[in-house]
Amino acid sequence: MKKIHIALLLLAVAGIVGMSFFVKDLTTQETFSTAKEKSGKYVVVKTKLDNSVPIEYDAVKNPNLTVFYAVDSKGHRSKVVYTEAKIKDMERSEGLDLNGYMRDGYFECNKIQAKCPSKYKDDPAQAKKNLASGSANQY
Amino acid sequence: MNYIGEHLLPGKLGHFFLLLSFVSSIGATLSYFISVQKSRSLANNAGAAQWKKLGRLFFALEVVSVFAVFSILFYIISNHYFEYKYAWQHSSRSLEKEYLLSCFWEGQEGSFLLWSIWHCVLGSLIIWKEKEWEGPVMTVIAFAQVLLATMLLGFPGLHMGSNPFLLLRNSGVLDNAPVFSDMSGGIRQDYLSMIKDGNDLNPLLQNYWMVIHPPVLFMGFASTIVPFAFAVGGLWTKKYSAWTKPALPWTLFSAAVLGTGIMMGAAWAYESLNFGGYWAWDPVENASLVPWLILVAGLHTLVIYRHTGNALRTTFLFLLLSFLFVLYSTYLTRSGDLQDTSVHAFTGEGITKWHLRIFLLLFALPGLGLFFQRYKSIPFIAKEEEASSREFWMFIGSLVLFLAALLIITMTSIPVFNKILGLFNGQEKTFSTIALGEDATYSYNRIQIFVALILGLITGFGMYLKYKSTGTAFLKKLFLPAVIGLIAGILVVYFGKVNYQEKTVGYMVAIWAAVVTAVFSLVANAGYIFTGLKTNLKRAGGAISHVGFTTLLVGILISSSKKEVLSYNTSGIFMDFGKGSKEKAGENLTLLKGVKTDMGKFWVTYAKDSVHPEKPLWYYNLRFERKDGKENFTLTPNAFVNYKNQQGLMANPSAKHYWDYDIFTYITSLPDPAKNADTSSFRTVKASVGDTVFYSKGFAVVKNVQSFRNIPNVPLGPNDSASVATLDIFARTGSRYEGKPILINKDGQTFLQTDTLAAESLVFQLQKVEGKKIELGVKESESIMQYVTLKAYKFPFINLVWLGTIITVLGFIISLFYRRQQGRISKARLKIVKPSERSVKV
Repeated sequence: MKKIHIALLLLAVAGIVGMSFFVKDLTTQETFSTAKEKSGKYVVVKTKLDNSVPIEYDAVKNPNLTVFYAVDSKGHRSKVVYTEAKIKDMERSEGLDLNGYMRDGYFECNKIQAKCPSKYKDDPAQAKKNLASGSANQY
Repeated sequence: MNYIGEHLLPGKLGHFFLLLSFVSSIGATLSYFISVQKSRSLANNAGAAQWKKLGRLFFALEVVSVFAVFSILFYIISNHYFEYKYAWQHSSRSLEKEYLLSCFWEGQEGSFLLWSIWHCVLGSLIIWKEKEWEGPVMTVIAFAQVLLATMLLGFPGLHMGSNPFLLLRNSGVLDNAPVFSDMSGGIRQDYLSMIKDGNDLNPLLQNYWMVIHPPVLFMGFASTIVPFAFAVGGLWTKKYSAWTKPALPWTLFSAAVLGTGIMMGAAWAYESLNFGGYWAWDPVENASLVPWLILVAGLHTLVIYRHTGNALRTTFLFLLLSFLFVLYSTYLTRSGDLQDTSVHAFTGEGITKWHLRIFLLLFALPGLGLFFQRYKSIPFIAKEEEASSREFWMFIGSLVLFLAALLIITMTSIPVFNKILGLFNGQEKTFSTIALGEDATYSYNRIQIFVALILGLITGFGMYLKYKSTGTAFLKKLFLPAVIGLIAGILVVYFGKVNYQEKTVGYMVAIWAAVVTAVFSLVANAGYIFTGLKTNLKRAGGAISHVGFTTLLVGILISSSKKEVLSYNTSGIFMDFGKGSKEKAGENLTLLKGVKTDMGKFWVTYAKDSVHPEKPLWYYNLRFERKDGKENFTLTPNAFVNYKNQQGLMANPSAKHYWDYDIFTYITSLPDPAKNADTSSFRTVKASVGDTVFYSKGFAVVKNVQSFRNIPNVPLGPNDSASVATLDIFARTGSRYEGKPILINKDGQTFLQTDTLAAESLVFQLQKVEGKKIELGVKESESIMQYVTLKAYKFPFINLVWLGTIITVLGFIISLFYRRQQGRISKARLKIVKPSERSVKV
C-alpha cells in the first residue's frame, strides 16, 4: 500500500467521523403533537401564526420574551414562548418554522425562520398589495 | 391600444438584442466547436481557421448585444420608466444614483445579465491573450452564454426564462387592482399616470458594500468557467498537459476574485446584516465558499503538476468540479429550494428551478462524462511521491480542502435531500424531514476547526520542503521558525485568554491547537519569504498567500471564540423554563431614552435620534461611557421603520473600531409606532397628603401640596392660584423618583402642567386641590416611552480577518503575474527550440 493510500484512508475515516458528528446534530421536523412525544428533544415545527391572538412583546418589561400562538400543519394550536426580541413583520409572515423544545403546555423556541412577504420582494402578490395601498409614494 | 406616457422603444430594442445575443451565442458555440473538431483531425484541418474566425465574429456580436441589453436596462432604470416591471420593482425616484446599479442584482434577471457580461469580458480576454486554446475554451464559454441567454429570453408560451423588459401591465401585477381597470375590465389608458413611484430597492441593499460586492462576486463565479473550460479543452483535444500552463494564471485570477467577492460579502454582512457577525454558515455563504475551496485545492494540484508531473487527474477533477459547484450553488440559492433556511432574499420567482437544474446538468454530464471516458488515458506517474517531498503534503492539503468543501456542501444541501427523499414518501411518511440542530454554527465549526488545524500545520512546514525529495537538511531551516511559531502561538493563547468554555473541553483544546498551528504557519511562511526565497517578493506569492490565509484563520478563531455579548440583560424578568432548559440571560437590552443603563463595562445612554430627510431611516445616538471613565464614544445604529408598507424595522448595525477590537451594536426592536397614537386616558384618584396611589409598576406617595405665586413670566392676578403636588414615586424596580404636577388657575381658566416620568411610562396630572385633598390624574402610556432594544457585542481582533483576506488576495495576484511572466519566458524559449509539447512519461 502506498503512503497516499494510507493518507486517503485516514482522510476517509476523518470524513466519516465528521459526517457522523453532523448526522448526530440533525434534528427532524415535527408537529406539535409529535413534538410532545419527544419533549426534551430539539425539533423544528412548521407553523403559521395564529393572528386572532395578539403577539405579546413588551421590550420594557423583558426584551427577550415574545409570546404568541401558532398553528401547525395538522391544525393544532399551541402557545409559543420565543426567547428573543419579536421579529419584524411577524404579524404578516406567511409561515414560521419554530426551532426549539416542546415543554409542558407551550413550545419554547430560540430560533424562528420566518417566511416574510418583505423578504420576498419578487412576490407578485405582495407587490400587488403594495401597489393597491399606494404605499409606493409614502415617502 | 395605446397607453399614455409609455416608452416602448427601449424595451423593443432590448428584446431584439436579447434575441440577437441568443442567436449569436449559438452561432459562436457551433463555429468554435466545428473549428476545434476540424483542427483535431490532422488529415483534414482545412477550414478550422475560417470557422474560428466565424466564431470570433459571432462572439463579437454576442458581446455587443449583451452590453446593449445591459445599457438599455440601465437607461430604463435610471430614467424611472416604471412601465417596465424591472424598473418599477427594483428602483424608485428617491434612490441615490450610486445604488442604481444595485437594482441589477436585486432581481434574478439582472444577476444573470451581470454574469453574462463577465463572461463576455473574460471571453474577449481569452480571444486576445490565449490564441492557442481559444477554440475549446471559447466553445465552453459561448455555450454557457447560450444557456444564460435562455434565462432572460422569456419564450412566449413556455414557462422558461424571465424577460427583464417585461411591461408592468403585462406582468399581471396590475390585473387584480381595480384602480387600474377601465370600464371593460382592461387596463386604463392612463394607468401610468397613477404609478408615481417604484417599489424601491430593498433597504438592506442600500449599502456601499452592495454596490461593489455583487459585481466582484459574480466576476469570481463567472471566472471559474475559465479553468473549467481549459480542463474540458485538455480532455477534448487529448492534449492533457499543455493546457495547464495557461490555466494556472487564470485559476489564480479566479481564486483571487472569488475570494475577494466572498469576503466583501462577509464585510457587508458584518456592516448591515443582523446575524451578529461576518459569517453565519448561511447557505448562501456556504454556496460561494465551496467552489472557492475546491478551486484552491485545484490550484495546488495544478502547481504540483507543473512542478513534478503528479496529480494531473486530480487537477482535472477539481477544476471541473469547482465550476460545477458554482452552478450547483446557483441552483441552490436561486431556485427557492433553500427559502426556508437562508436569510438571503432570493426566490424561485422568474427563473424556474428546472431551468437551473438543466443548466447544471448540461455542464455536469458532458464535463464529468468526458473526464471519466478519458480518465485512463490521462498521464500519471506510477512511482509514488517521497514523504519528504513538498508535493506529497500539498496533495494532502488539497484533499483536506476538498473534503472540507464536500462536508460543507452536504450540510448545506439538507433541503435538497429532503426534496429527494420526499419523492419517495407516499401516504405513510417513511422519511421524516430533517433539519440542522440547535446550534447549527457549532455543527459546522466543530468539524472545520480540525480542517483549520491540519491546514495550519501543513502550510507551515510544507513550504520548507522541496519538490520531489527534500532530505533532512530542511529540518535545520524549519527549526527556528517552528520554535518561534510555537512559542508565539502559545503566548497568543495564554495572554489572549482564548478560553472558549461554552462547549466541550475537547473543542476548547482544538481551538488552542488550531490557534497555535495557525500562528506557527504564519511565522514559518513569513520566515520562508526571507530564508527560502531571499526576499524575492516576485516569487513569494504562495508564501504571502499562506501568511494572509493563516492571519485570516487566527482572526476567525480569536474573533469568534472571544466574541463577547455586552448587552446581557440583567434587569429583565426571567422566566423559569424548568430543567433541561439552556436558557441564559437574554442578549437583548432595552434602553429608555435619556436613562443611563448598565451594560457590562459601559454605561449606555440613548441620547437622541434623528431621521433621514427623504426616507424613513432613523438614526439612534447611543452614548457609551466606560465605567472606569477612560473613554466615551457614540454609536449610531440606524433602522428603516415601517418602510414601504412593511411593518417593523430593518436595522443596520454600527460599530466602533479599535485596532484590536470592535464594539458592535444593532437595534432589535423599537416601540410600535401604531401604538404611538395615545389612546389611554387619565384615571382620576382622590387622595390626601400622605396617601398612596398605585400604578401597575409601583406606587406613589403624596408628600405635600403647596400653593405658590411666583411663576416666571406668568403674572398671577388676585383670583388666580397655582399649586404643586410633590409625589414620591417608588418603582417596583427599586428606583425612586419625584413627581411634581402643577395646577394653575388663571383668569378663570385651568391649566394643567403634567409631569412625565419616562422611565416608568407614567404621567401625573394635578386636577383639583382642596386644602390637603387633591384629585390626581394618573396615566400609563406606551406612547410616551421612547426606547430602543438592542444587542451589543465585542469582537476582538476582527481586523485580522480583513487584513488576512487582503494579504491572501495580494499573494494570489503576485503569483498570477509571476506565472504569466514565466509563461512568456518559456514561450520565448520555445520559439528558439522546436515547439514541442511538454509530456510526461506514463
